[in-house]
Amino acid sequence: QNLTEAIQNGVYPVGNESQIEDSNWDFSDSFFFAGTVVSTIGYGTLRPKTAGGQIFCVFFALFGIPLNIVFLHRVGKMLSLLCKKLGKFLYEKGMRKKRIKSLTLLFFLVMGILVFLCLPSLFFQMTEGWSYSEGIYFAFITLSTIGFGDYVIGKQPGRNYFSYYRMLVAIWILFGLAWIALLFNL
Amino acid sequence: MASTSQRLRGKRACKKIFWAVFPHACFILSLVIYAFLGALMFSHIEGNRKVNLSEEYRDFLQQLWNISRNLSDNMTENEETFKEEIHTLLNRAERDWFVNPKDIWTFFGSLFFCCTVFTTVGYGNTYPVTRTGKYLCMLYALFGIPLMFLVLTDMGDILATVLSKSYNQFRKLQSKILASKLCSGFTCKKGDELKSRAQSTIAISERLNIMEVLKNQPGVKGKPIKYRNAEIFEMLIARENEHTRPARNKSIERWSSCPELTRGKTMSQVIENFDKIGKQLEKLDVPIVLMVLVIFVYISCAAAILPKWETRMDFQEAFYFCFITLTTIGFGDTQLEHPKFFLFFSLYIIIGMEIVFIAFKLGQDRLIGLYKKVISFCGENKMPSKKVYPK
Repeated sequence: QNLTEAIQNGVYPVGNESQIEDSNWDFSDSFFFAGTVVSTIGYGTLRPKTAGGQIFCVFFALFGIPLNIVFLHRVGKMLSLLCKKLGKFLYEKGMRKKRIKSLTLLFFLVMGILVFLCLPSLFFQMTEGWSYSEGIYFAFITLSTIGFGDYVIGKQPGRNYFSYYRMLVAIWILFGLAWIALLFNL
Repeated sequence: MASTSQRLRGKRACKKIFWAVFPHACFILSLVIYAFLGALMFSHIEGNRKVNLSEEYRDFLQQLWNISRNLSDNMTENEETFKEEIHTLLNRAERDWFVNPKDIWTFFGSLFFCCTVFTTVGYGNTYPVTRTGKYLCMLYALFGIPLMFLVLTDMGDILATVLSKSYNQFRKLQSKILASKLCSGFTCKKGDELKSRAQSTIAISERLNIMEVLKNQPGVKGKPIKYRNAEIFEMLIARENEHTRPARNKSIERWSSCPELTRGKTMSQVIENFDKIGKQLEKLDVPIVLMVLVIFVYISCAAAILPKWETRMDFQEAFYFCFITLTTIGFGDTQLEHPKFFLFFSLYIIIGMEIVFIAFKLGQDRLIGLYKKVISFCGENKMPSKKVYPK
């Protein structure tokens, strides 16, 4: 018992780094890391430890983040075009302009929540084995770019992920971020 | 009679200053209150979490015990197997087995956590574990992040005005020096040309900005469309008047004789100021190299001071940490020994995020300009037969 106590106290500071990553930064892991940097989510499960890596990360973020923002703007404009089309359709049906505006806003909000928060949580329930509320929590924390890192995709031990899993999740993150950026501008 | 009017004028000036500063102070104060409230909430909810040893934890301890018991006396033989087994075992360990919630979720700890939530930095060394904590965290972020965004944009205006004013002064000085150095008729014309060009660019950017401003207005929701249209009209008229008639002091003097009108005027001015949030940010036209330089200098200052009490970090690590925090990426790999001191840095962090925000905005604009140039260049190349020669 004493031994376990002693080891526990020794393990305690190590416990912060107990996710001992194997040092293979293969392509998909690095791609994922670059994505977390550029979108400013920054989970932290994968991070550069060498000095050169950190310096490169600084410059990479300096150029990558504005690029990402521009990109998100464009994607957001595409999304808002859909909304405008809906507005026009309703206007032709003879609704008043004020009602159209609030209705399209509501529609946008509800559809966005369904597509970007609820649906992916179901998906994560299947692939990651989280509960539904954990899935929603993860989706929210990721899309708001807070990115704690307590829940990360693709890190559950002993689970097989199909090969395009990460890419699919990246696409979801992209469109979700564009939707949120659009929400802020409305 | 003269002294009372002077006193009145002084009072009015004081009031004017107060009402000018009031909205900004209001935003910041509301953010601070929000942070404190959140800290209270989270320290109550997460700090009082009951810690019960879960099955997996007991299993983990048992395995650890077994491993250490199976070690023979031969050291070299043990090292390899010990390493591997410990490696696999520790991979399964979860952080929240080893931490006592009362230590982490003190008031200051929760305050730190709340800051990481609404600034979206999200380090991840503290995160909510209970179910209510998680839901509360989501709700908190939902309201906190727009509030933070509002404060950032608001203070960004001030910063942008300071930057652009100082930059313009610098440019004026530069052109003056240039003009006085090469003192001939030819170069004097050049100086005027520079000035007129600068003025014309300012004029052009101003005309575009009303639409942009209205599109990018945060926080002004729920306004009826009619009021907005009237406002656009008023702003357009005001702009035209500013250009054509620079001397408007007379009309203001006439209004100030009637006290009710002045009160109404200040209130409408205050409300107007709410709408001007983000306006100065749009106007900023400072070269991006300067901004990058400012960022580097700013971060280096903090990186030089930080290692004084964070003994584990050297300059380069502190620089990296500050940068990752200010861009709100927030990996959370560097552990702070004294998070409380970092809270005192909060003003620095807000201004730093401002600067980074502005720099990224500028970078955006430059990127879009570059993109347009590239596209038009490609377009010209592809269609050489577009030129029509008039006969």
